[in-house]
Amino acid sequence: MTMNPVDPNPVRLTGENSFIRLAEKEGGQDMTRASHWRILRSPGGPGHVLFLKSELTHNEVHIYSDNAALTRWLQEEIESALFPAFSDQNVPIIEAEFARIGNHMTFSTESVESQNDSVSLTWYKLGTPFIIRFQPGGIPGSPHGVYSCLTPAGAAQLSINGVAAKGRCFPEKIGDHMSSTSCLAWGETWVRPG
Amino acid sequence: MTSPVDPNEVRLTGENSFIRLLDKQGGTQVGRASHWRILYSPAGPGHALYVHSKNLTKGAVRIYSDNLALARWLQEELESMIYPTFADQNIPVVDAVFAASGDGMSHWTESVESAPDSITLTWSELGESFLVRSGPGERPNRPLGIYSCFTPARKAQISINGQTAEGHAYPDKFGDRASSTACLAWGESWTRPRR
Repeated sequence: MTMNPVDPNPVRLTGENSFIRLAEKEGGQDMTRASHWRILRSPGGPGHVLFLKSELTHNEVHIYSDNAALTRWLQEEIESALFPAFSDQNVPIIEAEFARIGNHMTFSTESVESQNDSVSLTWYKLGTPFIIRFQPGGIPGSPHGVYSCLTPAGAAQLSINGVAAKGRCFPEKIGDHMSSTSCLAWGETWVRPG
Repeated sequence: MTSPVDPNEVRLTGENSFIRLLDKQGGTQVGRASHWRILYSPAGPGHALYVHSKNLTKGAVRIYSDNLALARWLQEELESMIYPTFADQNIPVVDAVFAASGDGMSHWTESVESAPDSITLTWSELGESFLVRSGPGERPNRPLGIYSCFTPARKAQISINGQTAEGHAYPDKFGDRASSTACLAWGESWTRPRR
């Protein structure tokens, strides 16, 4: 019998959610954490959001976006389970413009420009992409399932107004697969049982 | 516990939205477009459009791209499997600039601008998205695996230099899901067994 090629769960969003986590040593506490969303379709519409916490922000959460409705929806639906510090809806949203450059084979850079800040996230020394697929219930604390194409970075940098955050990314395992604390996450779709 | 990591090799990730126009429900195909926006592939990132139309191109295939190597690689690796008519490497590739617009909720347009031609592909009256996932060899004539988020469109249009291709999108089934002959296909990755 041919397997049904369609996931039975409703799609909640499709897009990208690349991330950077920087620490001073392997297994150490994150000094910088960034979650960058490029969304093509969601109940909050399309758009971009950057959630950021770093020693460069004095460990306060900064949120940049070109779609406030999308931002609040992502906080409620996804970040509340992924990283609750990013889900506080009292944190103001800074309006920003988003752009991407890079050849995506050796490096990729996401730029976020607001009135006061110029934020740059760069992934380089890129490894081999691989697909993750978690069924609903497979992510601790989340009812969602997720499919994503992860490209682990051997190195990553986050800078704000030209100042680079301290720390670096480190190898990390996902399941039995070697990955990184900083990955491009493209072709990403989240589903949730109806 | 099952590993969350697909053991197969990723060949590309990006998008491959498509339009198939028919002369009537269940009828003859009179126009077809396959639009690729690639973020990662062995031939690099970029865009390619493969299109033909009974009335606009007299059935001849036209290919537009901003990355010739990618256009040829897609022909060899994927279009030869999906729709061999688009896989002829003797067809010249026309340099073009690609752009997208739309809200993704009600409509979407892909624009392709070249020296000889201005092309727009539009999907409208969008339905609910669903996730397609199948491993290499799990579907007939599909040695590669796929993950893709399909959004079926009730209406779709192919235009070349202001002229509209004949035919319409019609309801279609994908697995057990109601779909369409014209879909946005975002968040798409293709895989093959590791060698």
